[in-house]
Amino acid sequence: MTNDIKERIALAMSAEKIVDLLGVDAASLDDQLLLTGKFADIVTKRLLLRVPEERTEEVRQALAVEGVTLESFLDTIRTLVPDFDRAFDEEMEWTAALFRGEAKER
Amino acid sequence: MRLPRFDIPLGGDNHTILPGAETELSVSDGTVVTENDEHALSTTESPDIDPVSVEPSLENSTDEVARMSGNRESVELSGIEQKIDEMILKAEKFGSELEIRIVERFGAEFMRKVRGMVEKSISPHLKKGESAFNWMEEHRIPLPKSRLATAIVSGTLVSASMPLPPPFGSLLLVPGVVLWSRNSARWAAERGAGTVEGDASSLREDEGDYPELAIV
Repeated sequence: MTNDIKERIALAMSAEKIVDLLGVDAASLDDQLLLTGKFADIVTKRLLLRVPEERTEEVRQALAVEGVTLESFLDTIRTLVPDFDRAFDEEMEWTAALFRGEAKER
Repeated sequence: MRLPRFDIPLGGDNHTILPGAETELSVSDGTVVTENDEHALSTTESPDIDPVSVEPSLENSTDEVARMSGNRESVELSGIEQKIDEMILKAEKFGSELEIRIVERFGAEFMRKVRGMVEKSISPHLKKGESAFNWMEEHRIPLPKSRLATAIVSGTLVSASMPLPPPFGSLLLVPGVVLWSRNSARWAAERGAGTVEGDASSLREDEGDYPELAIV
């Protein structure tokens, strides 16, 4: 039960952060849900692409492990992406700039 | 007037395509399919009608709504909707390009597995009505301020937006797990010192681990 609540809070934290970055709190909840989902999708993919090319197979293997959870998978990604926390911040900021039309695609 | 949306099931996930989006990808069984959404949007144009006269710009459209309604609130809402539509267009276009790179790098089934893993976790949180506010208050975790996060925490999201938008085959929980990991150590420390302040979105500077969290 406790983990259930923590997952809900983690999900809310993600929504809170993205809504804050995009300044879309006044939009409908449907639109916010759609937008935050797409935002998170892009951030996740860009983080995955930061894994060095030569370690690609380790990412695949981490996902193939029996009983893999999102947390364990992200733990692996955290070890494979150089300076993960900084990379995460950069991708959140960059994706927000992209959505606002202020970033060049790269 | 709001741009129409087209929810098209592609490769197991539904994607929303807005007018102006150039491509949408479907990845299925190792095959990357690029669809030109002009087919889907063909009804917006007719060879017998001058498109200029029937397709006002978004700005003009917003002005038209304002003029017709004479309602300031409607004007503001239209502006927000236009802003959202523009963001979604950018996301669709860039997301498709990213998908190509991910498929090339990790294989066609990879993102489907990742999404499947996340959706298993988040679906219950968007459908159940149990509130987490009491737990947050007991643990002195800063409460959310945004309407969306508040709806998620309180378990009222479904009643506010039912049915769930199909494109929510998303990875929204991924940033959340990272943020939780960072902030939980700070919350624990501040609970001990009795100095929890601020809101969840402002706590990005801190790192730490919170071993009790297990996303399954």
